[in-house]
Amino acid sequence: MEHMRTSGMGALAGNPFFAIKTRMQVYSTSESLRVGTQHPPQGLVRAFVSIGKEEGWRGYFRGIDAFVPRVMFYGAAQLATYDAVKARLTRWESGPRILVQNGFVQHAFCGFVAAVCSVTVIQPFDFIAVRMQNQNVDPVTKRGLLYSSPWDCFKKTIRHEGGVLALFKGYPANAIRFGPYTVLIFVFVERFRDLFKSLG
Amino acid sequence: MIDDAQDVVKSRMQFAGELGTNKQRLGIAGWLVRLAKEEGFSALYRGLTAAYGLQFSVTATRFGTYALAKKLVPPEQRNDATNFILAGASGGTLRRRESAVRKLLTWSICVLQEWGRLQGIHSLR
Repeated sequence: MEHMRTSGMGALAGNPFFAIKTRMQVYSTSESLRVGTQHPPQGLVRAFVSIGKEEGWRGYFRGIDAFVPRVMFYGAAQLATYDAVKARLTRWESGPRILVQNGFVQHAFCGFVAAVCSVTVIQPFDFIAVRMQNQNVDPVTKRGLLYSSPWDCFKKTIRHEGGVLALFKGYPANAIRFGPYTVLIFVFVERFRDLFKSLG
Repeated sequence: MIDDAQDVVKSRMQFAGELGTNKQRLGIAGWLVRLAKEEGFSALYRGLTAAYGLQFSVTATRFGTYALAKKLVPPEQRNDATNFILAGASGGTLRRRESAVRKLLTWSICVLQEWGRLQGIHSLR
């Protein structure tokens, strides 16, 4: 599908920025709030250069095997859920009118369901990408000090942090972030579609 | 901008208790309050430059890929969505995004992207 290909390409370029973002966000000045490997803040450009220096060109692609599916599945899950829920509602004859009718409430509701589903789908990928990218790297072998591969990250997390649910750490925060965003996007998208239809 | 605080919290939560280290167990509100209290309000905006870099690079590459697709797809096979997005992407999108209304534009570009995606899917049916 067109959008999966283009967003896959986008993810390829965005990967190092995602890594730098995570490192900046995880850095803490407070002892008790310090979680994960710490990277002192150094600004976007310097961080970008230092990844290349310390980790080589592969540093820019660390965690990409989890990040690309994260970006691709996000859009796909969102659209598929939205379409499916909307189609269901439209066919639901005895349902409440406000949901069955093609309007704001219906779009917002479908958008909400789409947000929850898509965030659920991408959360494990997001988690693994983030963990892969934030770890320190052995200066000689250029391998991650904590996890050697996404699969290794998956196994270690499940073993040491109490099962599969550990992959969903941070899920509520992500859901709150994407929820309103997705709802608004679909409400706007529907409006745009009407607008362009009326323009011919 | 409002997004970013939640994103910081998300990242922190994901690293809490990594392989048995610092097992900080806080909810969203707990994280927000402690972050603001102990690291200062600006901590809620850590990584904002990189977040913009991320948005920017992903969007730019996607438009680039669209433009490439435009070259490869003959005009008679294109749909309204591709044409519309290409029209928006070709005219100085990158330069305009650096201006003061960056937020608004980022927003509208995202909306258009999503719209394009929807149209793309519907036209495949």
